Amino acid sequence: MKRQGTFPFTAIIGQEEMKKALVLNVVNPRLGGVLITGEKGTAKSTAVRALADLLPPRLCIRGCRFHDDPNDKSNWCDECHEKYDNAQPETEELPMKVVELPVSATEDRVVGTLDIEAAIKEGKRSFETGILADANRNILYVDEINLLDDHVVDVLLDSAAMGINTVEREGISYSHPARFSLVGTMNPEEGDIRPQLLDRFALSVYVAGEKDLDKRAEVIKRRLEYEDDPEEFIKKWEEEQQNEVRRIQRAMKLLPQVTTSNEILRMAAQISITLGVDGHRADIVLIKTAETLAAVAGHTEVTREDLREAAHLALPHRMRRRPFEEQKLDWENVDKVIDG
Amino acid sequence: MKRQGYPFAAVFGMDKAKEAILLSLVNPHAGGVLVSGEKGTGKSTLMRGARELFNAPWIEIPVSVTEDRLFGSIDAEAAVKYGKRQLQPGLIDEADKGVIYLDDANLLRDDILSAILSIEEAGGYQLERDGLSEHRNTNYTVLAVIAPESGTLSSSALDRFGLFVSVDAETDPAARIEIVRRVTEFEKDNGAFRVKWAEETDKLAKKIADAKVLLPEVEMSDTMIRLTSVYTLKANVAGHRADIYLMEAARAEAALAGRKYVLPKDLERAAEFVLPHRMRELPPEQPQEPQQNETKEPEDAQQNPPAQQEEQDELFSMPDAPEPEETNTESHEGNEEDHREDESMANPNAGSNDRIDAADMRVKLPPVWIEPVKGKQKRKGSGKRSATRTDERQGRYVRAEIPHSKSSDIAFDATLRAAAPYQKWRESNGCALVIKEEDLRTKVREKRTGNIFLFAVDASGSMGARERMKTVKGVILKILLEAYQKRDRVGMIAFRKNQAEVLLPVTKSVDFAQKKLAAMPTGGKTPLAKGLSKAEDVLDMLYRQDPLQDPVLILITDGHATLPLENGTNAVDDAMMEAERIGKRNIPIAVIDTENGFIKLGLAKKLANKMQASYFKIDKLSEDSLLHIWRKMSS
Repeated sequence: MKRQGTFPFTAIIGQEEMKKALVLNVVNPRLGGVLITGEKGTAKSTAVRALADLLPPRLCIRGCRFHDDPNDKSNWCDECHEKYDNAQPETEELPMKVVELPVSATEDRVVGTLDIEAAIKEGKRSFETGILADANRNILYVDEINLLDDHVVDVLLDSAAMGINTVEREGISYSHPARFSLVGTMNPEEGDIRPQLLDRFALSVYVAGEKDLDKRAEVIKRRLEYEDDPEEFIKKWEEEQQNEVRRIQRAMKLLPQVTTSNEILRMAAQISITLGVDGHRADIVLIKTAETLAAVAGHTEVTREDLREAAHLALPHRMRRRPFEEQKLDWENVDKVIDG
Repeated sequence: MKRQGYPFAAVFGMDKAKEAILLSLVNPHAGGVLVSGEKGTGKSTLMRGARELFNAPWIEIPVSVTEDRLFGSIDAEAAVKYGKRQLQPGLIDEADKGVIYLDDANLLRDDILSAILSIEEAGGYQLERDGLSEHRNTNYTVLAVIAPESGTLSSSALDRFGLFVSVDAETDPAARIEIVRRVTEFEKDNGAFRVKWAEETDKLAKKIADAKVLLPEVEMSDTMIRLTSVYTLKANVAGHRADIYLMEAARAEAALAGRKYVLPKDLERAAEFVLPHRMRELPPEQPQEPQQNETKEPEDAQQNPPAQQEEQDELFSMPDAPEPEETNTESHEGNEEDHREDESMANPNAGSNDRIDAADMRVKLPPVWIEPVKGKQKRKGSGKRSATRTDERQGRYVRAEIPHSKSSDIAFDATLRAAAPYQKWRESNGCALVIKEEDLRTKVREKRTGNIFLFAVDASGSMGARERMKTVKGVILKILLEAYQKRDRVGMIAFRKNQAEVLLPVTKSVDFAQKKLAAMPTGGKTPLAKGLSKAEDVLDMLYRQDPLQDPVLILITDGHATLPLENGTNAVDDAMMEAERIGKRNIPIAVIDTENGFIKLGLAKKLANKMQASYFKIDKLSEDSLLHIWRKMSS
């Protein structure tokens, strides 16, 4: 079955923060993902799925099950090490993908399992890859992530932390690279998300329905237009989509050159201390986000405004939060630190 | 897969955790190391960095581990090829003379964690699997980290760790900047970063190796042995494990310092790691630290942390609850109807004689303990509280078994192992493996199910009396807190004035429950019978959703019913009748009695009897060690 086209990312009205957060994760795959929270029907899933069309191609080792990066030897799988430690690997360009992890997925499908065919036909014990293998160097998308079974969350946390999926089950002992950008969407009315999982997301955004009357009408109009003739609609937005892809590629190129001054580093640390967030991840994510924002904006030195914007994306879900505390973010204090 | 991880030496700060890891690597008899700390402190990074400091197996056990890989099983490949029953060693075997590392030890299944720790202590185990029967010797050290916000370990598991360290994030801006610098530098080019730190890493590795060589010569004098006992006695620890760990850790301290004898300061430093997680009730006059006046060395005066008690608290108690909000009215006398209004939290729906109380978080509540029913039932849902076997293809694959009935949930690995030894004698059909029906094994899956707590709360005027409602809200919040940790679901019914309403449909969002509770007004008559009947409606609905789920009803009232079901009937009689009906449902019920004042009618107690419920007086709650809710045997 040929997959029908998806609603173009650039045709989504409003929800700028969400779109920005998603794009940042494409520009910098090491950023660490985004959690999108919001009520039903706010284009959360549409946006994530639409992101697939904007994903740029990247260099992979040909035939590798984990699409290893030929230039990143320290994250190669065992098979690539075996084959190419002393030889030049063949490469190919493959686009980044959005790999979906359905809430109903079982643990063995997520981490991988015993290859039954090889076992029966050849009497061999070998590893059949799971979703985490597909997710390596890709975007792993979990819709309704707050409804994910606890034990699946556990394995997800394990690999998200390590960048490696370790499988010790069903007679199989195997580990492979699993570095992915985790993108989750959830409706908070349906349940909480575990704090540990929450902390794994670099960014979080809250989306609400559009309040502006004209924009609301425009949302409906575009949706109807799309449903009426998807192909025509997609064609109409093709140019805008291409522009966005180019913007992303430009930012990706610029990112390695972006630097952060001591002053900005100090501000980031001060923000974390002022807000009393847990651990050090907030500081690190703040800086990485600010650097990526700078790259997207087209400059090579992180500015105060980059940091401010980064704070809005990276901090809301990190406030030190005991189960029964209201989560409040004191933006005034953040501004005070940034404006000196 | 080889890991090009962040170097141990490059981890900034966390000196105590580093010291504990070194001690354990130098002297495995000092026991394993447990590091506890909030997320994002770098505790896992530090632990994983330790693997480069010594030359021995480093085995990480993922939370998805299955038993065949942990304990070992028949080598199916060898069985097929040579028809031989041969062991494929498990992780526990592979870890011999090395380290087992558990990231998020509190997420591991209890039985697996307990097996790993027991085998560490015993130095071996008896393998009985897949027709293999043998005793295996294995000696390893367990290093583990936990994040206390996702639950702690049982005290018996804690006791098995020799050394314990609690870590915090740095609060000094300069330190934080340095951390960000190093981490971003590592992420940009991990190869170069590792080269830069290679020298430091080698130095540490050599330090450990040298200390290991010296260790057998390090002696404990009798005085030092006596001093060890002084420490452990002062800490009031259970059993004698602590003495051994303390002595061995002190010897490791001496060896790391290059000495062949143990000094009091070695013991003092070691005590910081060995004692905090085992200290029990401390003598009131010296609550903070072990006695050390005679032996203390001046340069180490700052070494003994007054934080020990705090660490212990953090480990054993629930997270701090917020202070009660200051928006509350002062206390007042108990008349039937309360005429005060809380201005700052005024609820638009509340009548003029309603009030909204904040929760009193000083309430002390013992943990809720639900008596498990014999012979676990199959249940739905996902949560932490009770493990149930499930028939669906969901849940964690625990082990394989011979199928009792037709099942499509085949455990291929186990089937393969069962079939493997017979391949030589079976007629080949072109495949390498011929599987017969008797080989088939199915998966036994386990799912953690949380409980459902349904609160039925009396919010009438009499409950507003003497700030009773503050206490009630405090109690409910404490139970909610526990529900949060255990991934339980909660629902809430409030009855007041002339009706009972579902304040909160059963939800997993404890946060949401908390908000609803905070806004719950008090005032008006007591339609107890209506409250109970509403509870029945909700229970009915839950039963329709899934007959196997087993909600717990918690009724909080003084029993003073003032409003009947219909005009003309007696309010108390109606309530008793409803109570009796609920009692027939055979679900666990607890009644928390809030009656106070001089004249006690004991109506709530009667209600509890009618419902065959566990009964508690709200004032006495803190005196119980457990809020013990009996689960009735299903008839």
